[in-house]
Order: sequence, then C-alpha cells, then structure tokens
Amino acid sequence: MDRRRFLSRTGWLTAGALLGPGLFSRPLVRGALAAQGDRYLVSLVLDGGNDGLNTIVPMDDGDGSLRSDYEAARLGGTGGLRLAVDGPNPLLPLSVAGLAGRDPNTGAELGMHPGLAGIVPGVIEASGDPGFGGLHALWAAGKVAVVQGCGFPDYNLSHDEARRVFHTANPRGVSALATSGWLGRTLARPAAGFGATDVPGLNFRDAVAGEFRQHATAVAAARRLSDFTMPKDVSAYSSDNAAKLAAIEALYAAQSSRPGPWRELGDAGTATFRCMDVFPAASKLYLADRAAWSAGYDKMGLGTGRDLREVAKAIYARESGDERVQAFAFRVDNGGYDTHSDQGGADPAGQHWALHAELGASLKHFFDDLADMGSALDRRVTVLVWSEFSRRVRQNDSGTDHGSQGPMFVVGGGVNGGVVGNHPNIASSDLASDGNTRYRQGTHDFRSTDVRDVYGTLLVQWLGVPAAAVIDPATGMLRLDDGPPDERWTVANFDLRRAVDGAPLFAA
Amino acid sequence: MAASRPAVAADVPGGGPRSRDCVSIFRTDAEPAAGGSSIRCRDGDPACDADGTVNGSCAFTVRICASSTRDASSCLSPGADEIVVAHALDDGDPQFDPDFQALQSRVDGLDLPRTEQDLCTSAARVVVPLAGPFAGNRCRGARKTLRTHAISLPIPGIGRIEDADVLRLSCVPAEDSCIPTTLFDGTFDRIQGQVFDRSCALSGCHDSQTRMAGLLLEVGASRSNLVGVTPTTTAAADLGWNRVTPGDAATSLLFRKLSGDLGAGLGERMPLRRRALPSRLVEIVRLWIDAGAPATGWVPGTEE
Repeated sequence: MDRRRFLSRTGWLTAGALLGPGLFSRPLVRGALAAQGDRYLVSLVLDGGNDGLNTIVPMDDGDGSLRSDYEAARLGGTGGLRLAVDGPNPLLPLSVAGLAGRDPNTGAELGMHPGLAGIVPGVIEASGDPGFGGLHALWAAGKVAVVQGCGFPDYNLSHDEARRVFHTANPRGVSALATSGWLGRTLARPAAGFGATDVPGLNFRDAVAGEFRQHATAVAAARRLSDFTMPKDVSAYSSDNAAKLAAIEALYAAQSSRPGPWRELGDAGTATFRCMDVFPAASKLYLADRAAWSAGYDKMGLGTGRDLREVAKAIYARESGDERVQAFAFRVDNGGYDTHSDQGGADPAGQHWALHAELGASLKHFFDDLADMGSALDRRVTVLVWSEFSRRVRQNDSGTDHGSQGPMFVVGGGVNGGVVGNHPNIASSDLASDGNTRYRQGTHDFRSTDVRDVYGTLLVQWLGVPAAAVIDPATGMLRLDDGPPDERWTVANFDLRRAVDGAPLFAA
Repeated sequence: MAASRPAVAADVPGGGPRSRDCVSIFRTDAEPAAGGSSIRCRDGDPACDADGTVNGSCAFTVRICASSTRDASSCLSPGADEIVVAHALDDGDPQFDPDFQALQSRVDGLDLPRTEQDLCTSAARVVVPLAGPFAGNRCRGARKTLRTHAISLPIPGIGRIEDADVLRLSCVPAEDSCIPTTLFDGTFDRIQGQVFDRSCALSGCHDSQTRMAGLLLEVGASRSNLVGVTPTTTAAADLGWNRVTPGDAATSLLFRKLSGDLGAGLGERMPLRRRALPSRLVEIVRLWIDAGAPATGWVPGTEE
C-alpha cells in the first residue's frame, strides 16, 4: 500500500489542542452549533479555471456592447465556442417568471450555458430522471444567486497562485493570513468552540483543501466516508484486530498531553479514530434509509454527484441525531476545467458541456435529496461554486487560455436568487495587455465583485459570524490589507445584494 | 486518395504483453497500420481526420476504454483503478499538451476505480499540426505520441496488473495543400500559429501559467504584450529597444532573440534549448516588424 492509498484510507488531518471526552456535553460546542444555526456550507470548486464567459453569457447588447464583443471573441464554426441565442442547444435566458436576468450595469440579457440545465445525453434526458433541469431549474425556483465578475486585485494566471488567493482570501500576501484558509479561520475562531480533536470540516478529496487550513481544530479529508477505516491485519493474528486498534488509539491519546508536534500527532490520531467511529456508520445509515435517493446518484453516474452524496450522508447522520457528527463545512471538487483545447461550445458531446452538465445535474439531485429529508434542510444548506479564474476572452483554435474574473454561484433554498454584481467588460479596447478583463473597484461602471465580499457575506449573513470578527485585526478572517483606500475592506463590504431590488444575498 | 470512407471505430491495445494489455486501450475512428499502435492520416482524409478538411492539421478522434474484453482469453481486468495520460498536467512540463489534458479530463470523468468492463470515455480530439508551411508551399508530416499508464484493481492471489500503452498519431500533408494564405488569416495570424503556438506559448515558457520574463505569447494576448512594450531584459531596455519596435526589426528584441543576433547581456537565443526556428520563419517575423507589425492583413513577402 503506497502513501497515497494509506492516506486516502485513513484520512489526512490538520490538528490542534485539547482532547475532551463527552463532546456535546461541552457548552462551548453546543453554543457554537446554535450560533451558526444548524446551517451547512459546501465549497464546490470548478478546478482548472472555468470559462465564465461561456457559463453566464450575454444574449444581447442591452445598452452596451456585451453580445457584440462576445461574438467577436468567441467564434462560430468548427472549433468555435460561441453559444447561440437560438437554434439547437441555445442559451437559457435568466429572465424567467418572477426573476430579473439582466446585467445590472449594461442591461444585457444574460443566459445560462445549456449544459448547466443538467441534460446529459444518454443519462439524464427525461423529466423523471434524477438531476433533470440542473442548475437552471434551481435558478427558476429562486435558489441561485449568480454573482458576476468575481476576482481579486492583480489577478494571477497561475493555477496555484490564483487558488492560493481564493483559499486564503489574501490577495496581497499579508503574512498573518498566508498559511490559513478563510473557512479554516472560521472553524478555528475561539468563539466557534471547536477543540483540536473535533472535526467540523470534511473534504471529499485526497488532502485538506487550502481554504480549510488552520491549526486549532481538525478537518478530515477522504474520498468517501466509508474510507475512514484502518487497513485490516489479515495475518495469522487477525483475531486481535480490535485490541491492536485500541492500543494504537491509546498511543495517540497519550501524546495529547505532550508538547508541540507530539500533541499535534496525538490530536490528529485521536480525531482520525473519531472519524473511524462515526463516518462509516453514517454512510451505512444513509444507504439503508435513503436507498432510492442513493440510487439516483448512481444512475447519474457523475463524480460530483457521488461526492455530494457523501455530503448528504454526513448531514443526514447529524440530522438523524448522531451528535458525534459535527461537520457542517464541506469541500467538493469538480476538476477538468482547464480547457486549453477541445473545449466545445454548444455540442452536448463537448468537454465544457459535460462538465457543466455534471455540475448542474449533481446540484439539482443533491438539493432534491435534501428537500426530501425534511426539516427544511434544502433551506439550511448553501453551496458556493467557485473557480480559481475564468478564461481568456478571445478563444484560441478550440479552447481558451487562463483568464481573470468570472462568476460564482451561491446555491440553496436560503438564498435570495438573482443576479448580483456586474458582468466584466469584454470589449477588446478595454482588456488588459494579456487579453483578460480588468479588476475594478470604486465607482467604476464595471466594478468587479471582490472574492472577499462573497466570503464575508457568507460568513456574516449565512454562518452568523459577527461582522466585526471578519475584519478584526487580531483574529480576522479577511483582514484589512495595505491596498489603496478604495480596496480596503470594511464591514459594509460584506453585504452583497441582489441587483434588481437590493435584497440581501440570504433570506432572513 | 479515397474520398469518403466511413469512420469505423478501431480498438488499439497500445503494446506490451497481451496478458496485461486490457486494463486500458485506445478506441479511435481510424484504423491503425497492420494491427500496430500507429495511425497515419493524410490531412483532410475523412476516414481519419475528424475535421474532414485540408487545413494543415489532422484531428484524430480518440477514446480511452478501461477493462477491455476484446482479447478476454489473454487478459481480463477486474476493473481499472487508475489511468494516467502522460504530459497532461499544466505544471511546467515542456511536453505538456492541452489535447492530452483534455483526454485526461475525460478519464477523470469516468470516476475510477470502476469495475465495469469496456468502460469508455467520450471522444476527445488530438490535433496533430503539420510542420510548415515552408518555402515552396510545402509542409512536412508531424507526429504526436500519446502514452497512458493504467493500473487495475487487485486480482485475488495475483495483485494488480499494470498496462503501459502508446498510440502514435502521424499527420502527412495532402498534395499541393500547404498554402499559407488558406491556412492563416494574415501575417500575424501565421506568426501566432506557426511560431508562438508551436515554439513559445508552451508550458513552462511563455504560457499563461508561467509567463517567463513577464511575456505571454498565447492567442489573444501576444501582440499587445510585444508591440511597443519595453523588455524586462535590462540591457535591451537600456538600448531603448522594445520587444517589437514597429518598423524596425533591428531594435526589436523578439527578432534578435529568434535570429540569435544577440550582444552582451541580451540573454539566450529563443526558443531556449530548442532547435533554432527555420530561417524562413525568422524572415517572416522580420518582414512583419519592418512593415509596422500590423494585427491583420498580409505583409508582402510573407504569403508563401
């Protein structure tokens, strides 16, 4: 068994302080769970750089030139990426009954990539299929905020650098924030009350993601909840497996009272054992109680759907009264968005279409599953969909190279659905020298949405973190930095609102 | 040339011992030569070139199939645990190829490990551009080599099977077809396609991930990063040169770098540690700069 396999079996953990028995007898933890209101947050990354310009697409010029500029940059014909307003596989307008789907700055009608409607030829085609209707169905139900033009100052075209900024919410490299993630700092906040062996965060991937990094509490990473098992000793002495495990657990527990790295090792081990106690059972519970919904994820056969099923399992166990499940923050990856070539436009067999179809159908089935669980769960779970950058405005032969600002989606029944923020200016005369859209703040017509505004709004409005704590210089999760005055962050920034009527991002 | 043979899916095991050759195979729309791992295609031949047009490149349609049953008596895979396409990671690998990356994305979409037999990705296109055009409207054939490494799920008592495969995709020019004015929209488009895309905007060099010397030479970005822009090479900047000085190739660092005509402090010839560009291409760059480095249109002397 190689290292990667071992880690994916046992989970990879970050760790911290005290080990305490009787977890939920601890008033601090109880208080923390009450403060965030039994709400859940899923961070879903479109890894590789999603082509935002072919995700939320101008359908006309409105009072500006967005559609004309789009058609100049995105070609028709073989290898062309242009998404059409009509004809086969057209864009789906965002303007539907009761929802305004125009860009607030230019007035251009916006359309959604047809693949996001969750139709996967051969898999999801009929209205009874799991995931049918995809993200557009969730949009039409008022559960999606399309947050346009998201980015950060001095965008970076390197995957790693751009991911680092999205993870740390720290574009200017303030050293105090450089080694922790924006969600990690939220979990580690003393007022959150999580100890070193508590596991408030779960990542469904091989290692803890950057936005969860911190050193006060544990975040577990595994591909599946059922992976939280120790490899079994299949030797002649297998009958004493239980005793061996107990001995290893005791070894870890003993380290927790020792200093420095010993304690970290002990806490990580203890948290891992806690995961082994809780998560395989959570998985079985879901599979037993919700077999039909589970089969829906299998029927779709989509990786993101299967990952979201793991989130559903953890939530279901906790909502079923298993107080040992503390996780409320999750991370799911949908990779493959680095579409330098062969991206595909409106062709259902194309690469970008397949990725978007996977995203849309998976989210739809996940929220249908949550709604069916009851307890208003579909209104208590929010999914933030993001990508490290968008892509070059002008396409190359058959794909797109790295770009700058792009849309994020905030999805859930607690969201006031609608368009938030401006579409970037894609006129060739306004592009930066590398052919990408520019980041702007202040009173500019094409003002960008800073990614810190999105995070801050989520923390304040959704997770109930006091606004002052978000920018507090000592414990702040998104601290003031040394940027120019109009790029400094204040509490007022953490209040994104729907463009058409100024409604807050989340319903009360 | 046979004009319109219908495309037939062919399974290519990709080489190696037959007993291990089923964990991963290639499925193409073109027949390989005599049961081997090489496909040779003439530009525009609808039997193998998926774009079906004479356009200076061949587009091969390739799928990867896990746990193939095509030779089940020799090799039976209990399922694929992992399939890795070589040079598919945009991390500075000088042999990184976006088409291989697109294929790896499709493999990732299979969500391995899976136990199903004959589990195939959707089709990806691997485009092999011809070398050229060179003087006399001639092109030369070109080849890409696609490599995969696959590992099966464990077989009780045996362990895992590893299967390394190769698919060689060759494109040869159609007769009298390599005419620059039909392959490109203008002189700068030709420089982008024939110089920057092939020799400069590569992973680890002047691509969006790396931007060596702050210079990005991908489509949509290259010209505005060159024309009238001061180079980061101090010695060149001190001389008052630009990356491209419209109308004057002699004070354009781009031309000096490509021609190798460099003085002290001006760094290495480009492309770095690769064969120098054919003199004809360097000449086209010179003509383009001396004509004012226009974004569109054909500069006299660059059409062939």
